[in-house]
Amino acid sequence: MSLYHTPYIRADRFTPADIYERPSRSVTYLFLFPNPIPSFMIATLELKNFTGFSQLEINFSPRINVLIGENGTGKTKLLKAAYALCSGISVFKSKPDVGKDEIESALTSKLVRLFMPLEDKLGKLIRYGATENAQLNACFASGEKVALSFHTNSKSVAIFDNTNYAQYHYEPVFIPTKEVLSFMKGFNSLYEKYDLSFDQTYQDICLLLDLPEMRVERLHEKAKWAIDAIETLCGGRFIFYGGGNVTFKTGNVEYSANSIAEGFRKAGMLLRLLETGAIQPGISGPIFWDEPESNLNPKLMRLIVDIVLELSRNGQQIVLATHDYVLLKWFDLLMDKSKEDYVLYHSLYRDKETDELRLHSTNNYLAIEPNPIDETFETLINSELDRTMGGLGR
Amino acid sequence: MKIKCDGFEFNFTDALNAFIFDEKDKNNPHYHNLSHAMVDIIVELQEYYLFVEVKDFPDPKIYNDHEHFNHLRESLKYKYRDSWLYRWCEDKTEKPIKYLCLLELEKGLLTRMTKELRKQIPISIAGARWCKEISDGCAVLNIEIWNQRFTAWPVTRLPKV
Repeated sequence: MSLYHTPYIRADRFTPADIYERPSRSVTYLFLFPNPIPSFMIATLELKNFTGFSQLEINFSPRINVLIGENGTGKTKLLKAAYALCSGISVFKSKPDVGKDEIESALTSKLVRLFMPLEDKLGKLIRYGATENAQLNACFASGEKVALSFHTNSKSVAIFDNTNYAQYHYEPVFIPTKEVLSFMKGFNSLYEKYDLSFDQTYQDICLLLDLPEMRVERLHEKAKWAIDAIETLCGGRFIFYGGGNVTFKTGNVEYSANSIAEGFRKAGMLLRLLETGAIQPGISGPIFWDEPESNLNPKLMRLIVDIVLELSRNGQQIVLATHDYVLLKWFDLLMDKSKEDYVLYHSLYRDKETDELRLHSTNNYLAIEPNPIDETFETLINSELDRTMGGLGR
Repeated sequence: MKIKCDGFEFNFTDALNAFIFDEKDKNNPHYHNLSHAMVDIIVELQEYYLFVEVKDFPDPKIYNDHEHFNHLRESLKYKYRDSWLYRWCEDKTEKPIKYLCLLELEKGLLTRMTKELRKQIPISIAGARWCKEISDGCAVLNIEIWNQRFTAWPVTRLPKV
């Protein structure tokens, strides 16, 4: 059975042993899905004539997805597009019987504020040189769909399929590259009032971090474990006073959050998202995380991968983009098939002949192709050989 | 100069001499009659000797594990040092020696192994006390990089019998 033709099929009819082989146009591609597929997951995303993409489709793992690719291959754009289409809940939660116009308006605003196109014009998000409309389609695990299009002069997106979209009410989380604890005091009001050069992922994350913390008894067991593990490694805890006012406390001494290492602040963001319940395995929507590795020391990086795996084992879908070998390698080393870990590696690359962006996905770490992280090692080895061997053997 | 070793065939086109050093065949003139491990191939070039060690692993993934990796590093290190000693006994250490290890490992591990071997053999003169170097250079590479780099020393994998 091809997943491609039924991307949103409910998986409770299948067992974990079911393997779907996609008769792909460009890749050999195996799916081994846990049973059942969590209903909050985004199953597929298709982009046509959108930003740098002429046509690209990605099938997500219900567990962990790792996007790799050189700069300029659209990793962040893909994350943001998926995040935007998962964000319908922001409209539905206040008004369940919302009309199509309002969804269109909300998604238009989301796309513009996430991608910050020139002059804030939606039409500027169409791929340069494209003659047809841009299209974004997403299918979710329980059969919900949203498909929209726009053209160069569109003021708003036009939705042409929103089958059961209002039933998709799982709030996604986007963790941007930069940590925000150092500048979140007053950030939200400044963001609303002034034209700041931050995309909306920064405002969204600041709002989530500023939520009150959940009662301890309501926290997921794995969230408690992750919070403790991060606090132990950071040697203290973050205190959130509201309004973006954050400090860091070790023993009885309280410091400004700005005075501690940037990597700790990054881990602190994850900790807070767990504390507030913005991330609740089995309840919250997908986590989109852009370059988790930035500013993390190797010990923190291993802990982050451990936490991500544990969350995914408990029903959290995660899509992250990375440039880092160590992070990628930790996934390979720490994943455990007996725990039904399922990591899909998605490699974005530019086709040498057409210059178009393409995607190759695999669940086999060694089969990631192309792998710019691995290619960097090759460059290092060759430089080492220049030094050691000179012109010998050539 | 063609030479077959551990499922690979090398062609050292500019070599003055190349032979299996770890020769276990009593009928071969290079039979070493020693119990110790040594590198697989010795190549004599105009100005250098090459010590070449070849390992084709059935399960390269196990070397992600610290213990397996360290064990492999120790084995590669002692093979080089023992081989150097035997070559000294043969009075064949008059040229600088470069150590090449052909291992089918992923690239991240190749750079790590190169770095650790360079430190542990060690490569170049280790300090003011020492007058001579035990090795002039060391590199760990896989077949793909070997063939890209050493166009004059192509290597092919022999069909499995």
